[in-house]
Amino acid sequence: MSKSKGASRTRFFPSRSMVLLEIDTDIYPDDAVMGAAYVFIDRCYVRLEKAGQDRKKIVVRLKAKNETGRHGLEELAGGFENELLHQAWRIRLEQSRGRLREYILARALLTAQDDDSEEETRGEHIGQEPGDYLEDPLGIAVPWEEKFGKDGKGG
Amino acid sequence: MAKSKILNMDDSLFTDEAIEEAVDAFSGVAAIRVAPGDSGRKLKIVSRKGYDADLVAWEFGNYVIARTVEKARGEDGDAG
Repeated sequence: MSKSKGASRTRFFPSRSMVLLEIDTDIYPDDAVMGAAYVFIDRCYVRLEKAGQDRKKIVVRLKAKNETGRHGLEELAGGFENELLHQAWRIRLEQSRGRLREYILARALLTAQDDDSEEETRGEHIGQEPGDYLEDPLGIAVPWEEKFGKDGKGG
Repeated sequence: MAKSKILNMDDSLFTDEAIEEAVDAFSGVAAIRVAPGDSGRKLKIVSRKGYDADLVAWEFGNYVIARTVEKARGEDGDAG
């Protein structure tokens, strides 16, 4: 028994716990199909093959990891088609908003870089201030020979 | 239990690198011969004793999908 939904055609094989979907790549790009397949590999076995004239269709075979009936296969196919829609939308958004996101990221990195160099400059000033490590009240920086003489018997 | 299975891997969907990695990862459970196909690679999977070639082929397919997507997304961690 098969079911046609315009963008995809679905056939169920309950005896083999398998469902077959034909996806039109004019509507769902290859990357969307791959992305949906990736989401589903934990849930079931997925096989992808190009088909049709000009190889513009992708045949997706979903096989349940455990035996399942028609209802389980319908759920699997429906879930896959939903995921397909989600992936296709993500790709479309990525294409339209990609440059804006790159700009925001570049701006954020640039700001962080400015902050870092500002802190470094401030650090240099602090280093030049008198006191702190330049003072040696315990005489740690004084060489042994200078402190106890060349034979070293001072202590 | 099937002893061998033929798989077609379309090169517009799967990367050669992912297929090679999968062949390497599955060498313990099957002998896999790779030949050029009509639109990619044709693989003959001959399962080793005790393994079902059909099941190995399904697992192999999932592995190739995972590696192809992970590499494309730059999540290229250690597959082993």
